[in-house]
Amino acid sequence: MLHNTRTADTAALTVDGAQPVWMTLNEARERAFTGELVFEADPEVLAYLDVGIVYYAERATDVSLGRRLLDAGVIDIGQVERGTVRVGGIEHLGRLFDRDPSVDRDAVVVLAEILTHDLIAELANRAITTVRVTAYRHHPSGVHRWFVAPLDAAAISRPVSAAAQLDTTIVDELPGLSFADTDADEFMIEWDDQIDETHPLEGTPLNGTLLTGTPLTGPPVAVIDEQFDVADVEAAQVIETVDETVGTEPEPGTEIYTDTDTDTDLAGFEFAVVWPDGSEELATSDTNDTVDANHTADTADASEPMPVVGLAPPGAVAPIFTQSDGGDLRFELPPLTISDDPEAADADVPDDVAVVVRRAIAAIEAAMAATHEFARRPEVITPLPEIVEIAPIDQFDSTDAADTADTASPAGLGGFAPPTMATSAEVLYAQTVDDGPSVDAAADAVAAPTLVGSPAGGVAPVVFVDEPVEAEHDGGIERSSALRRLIGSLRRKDH
Amino acid sequence: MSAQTFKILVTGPFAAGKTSMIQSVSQTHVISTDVVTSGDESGVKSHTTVAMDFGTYCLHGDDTRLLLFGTPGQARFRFMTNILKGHVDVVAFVIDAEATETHAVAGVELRALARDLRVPAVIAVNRCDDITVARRLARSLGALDGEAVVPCQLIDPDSGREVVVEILLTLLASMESTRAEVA
Repeated sequence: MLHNTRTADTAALTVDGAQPVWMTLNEARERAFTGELVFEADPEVLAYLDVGIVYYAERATDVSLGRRLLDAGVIDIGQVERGTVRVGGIEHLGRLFDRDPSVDRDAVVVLAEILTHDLIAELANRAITTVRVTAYRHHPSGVHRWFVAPLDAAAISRPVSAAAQLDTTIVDELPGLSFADTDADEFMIEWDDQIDETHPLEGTPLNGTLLTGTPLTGPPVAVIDEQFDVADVEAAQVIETVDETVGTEPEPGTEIYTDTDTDTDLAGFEFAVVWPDGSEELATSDTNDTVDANHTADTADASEPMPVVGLAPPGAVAPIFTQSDGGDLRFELPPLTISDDPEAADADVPDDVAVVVRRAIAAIEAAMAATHEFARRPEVITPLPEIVEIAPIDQFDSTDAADTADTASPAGLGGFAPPTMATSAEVLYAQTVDDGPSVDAAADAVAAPTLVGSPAGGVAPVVFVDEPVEAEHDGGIERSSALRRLIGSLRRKDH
Repeated sequence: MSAQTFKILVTGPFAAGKTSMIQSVSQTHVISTDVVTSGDESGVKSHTTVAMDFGTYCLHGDDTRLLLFGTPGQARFRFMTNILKGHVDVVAFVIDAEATETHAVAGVELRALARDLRVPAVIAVNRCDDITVARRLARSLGALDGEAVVPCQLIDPDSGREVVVEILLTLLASMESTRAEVA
């Protein structure tokens, strides 16, 4: 059977007799089909495609996508509420990431992909006789927009949940990075004079004494462009050249070598710097600033340390650039300082909340103390049973073992009895409270455990057997009885 | 006769009626951690629990005590539920049948709680008189088949006491079935 809402283009997607689903999907891909395919399985499976690619699929009986995301824990209910656009009876999630930037886009999209892939893989080899095709019909939740809408700045600087893996957005999603556009393979910074062996540079901080070993009196020449992510410093090959003519105007070649197109591409481009302490800082690459910095530095006091990267967040320590043996520019970060200060989340607790919580805890402790004035159990030191020598196996009397096993089946030979309700902490505690002063007698009983299956020769293993605990039964009955009294009392209040 | 203490955890979404239920049976002044609501919540009620409610019920001439712990309903105070749910004997999950906007949250919480708890639970469906409707709502939110569902009007203290009685009956049935299994 065919329910085709389109004509010739989609007719090829429909089925003439039973056909595996993968063949239908292949046809859809070849035709760059966009729209909905409904496979009439049990239950029906709906697949949504964009230019031939299935971006979402679900069974007709599946719960809503929002609920699936909630159940999977990739978003919380607050994010759903904030991210959903409700128009009439429609709940549209297409703008989820725009409306709530706290949503971890990667996690959500990956989950949708996994759900889709699992379902398609499960369905791929099944022969379906009926396929309904509706071109340009997308999933009502608006999920299509997740896969086709261009990433905006907010999405680029999205937060990543704790469950997500290491955020690599800075290195893998910044479009149009300069070193990708230049002819050279790697980003290069050039000075006009090549560093030679006469200028030892090992471990020299990249500041005012950079490279020459003496304070610079001329214009700072090593300005690291802000678009240059610190994580990529090691990967970038830097050719350091120094204007040996101190105090003179820099020649054109002394400026950082940058591609003109690069400046254009990165002007005003926002990106985030993730510091080792986890804080992030949004920054804007303003190439005009870079140029200005170069020119401004002409008149600056060259004896002052040269700024390296002006992106450190308040309180953070900027990385220190050093020169390695091989002449590569490297950076080091100072060790992290763990602060004992309360976390920001704690600090955000309003005073009135803290006050009422403290008051309530104090009141509850007082109320609970009144109900738990139990006798303290005296310390009892239980002597260990005497250890007897185990006879060799050939001297072991099997009849003794049989007797032992019969009697102590719960524990088995040489083992402890398995835990029972009678040995639960609650029951033992209740027993202790009940026993009160007679606890010493109980302790004596513990000190003299019953030995079962110990023949006269004393060669059988020692087996402890729980005594029948009447108290457990009694305690349970007593607790049930107390509960019944409570119920009765509450019921009497009804009348 | 030993002292017997029973702990009920009363939980559920914001403004479902948890505090009212505790107040309906507590013989002592309910220890509340209410603060003035703000934002959208202020349109629902003037005060809300931020940490816990605590009420007690005792038998005269008896050491039997019933302790009721109420959790805050807002998601931002969810950590308190995690603290309070330890060592409880039974859980009462309160849902407002008419506050449909809270049902999604309630469903998530109910399922999360069901995964964690190993004690019996009772679903109290507030502002509902029809047991069929109450059951249908509870099931739609993820209540298990074996869980008791009670329609109630928690604005009425008598209804609150009936719910507590039902909770205790559920606990009693659970205890007796456990004892029967052990025996």
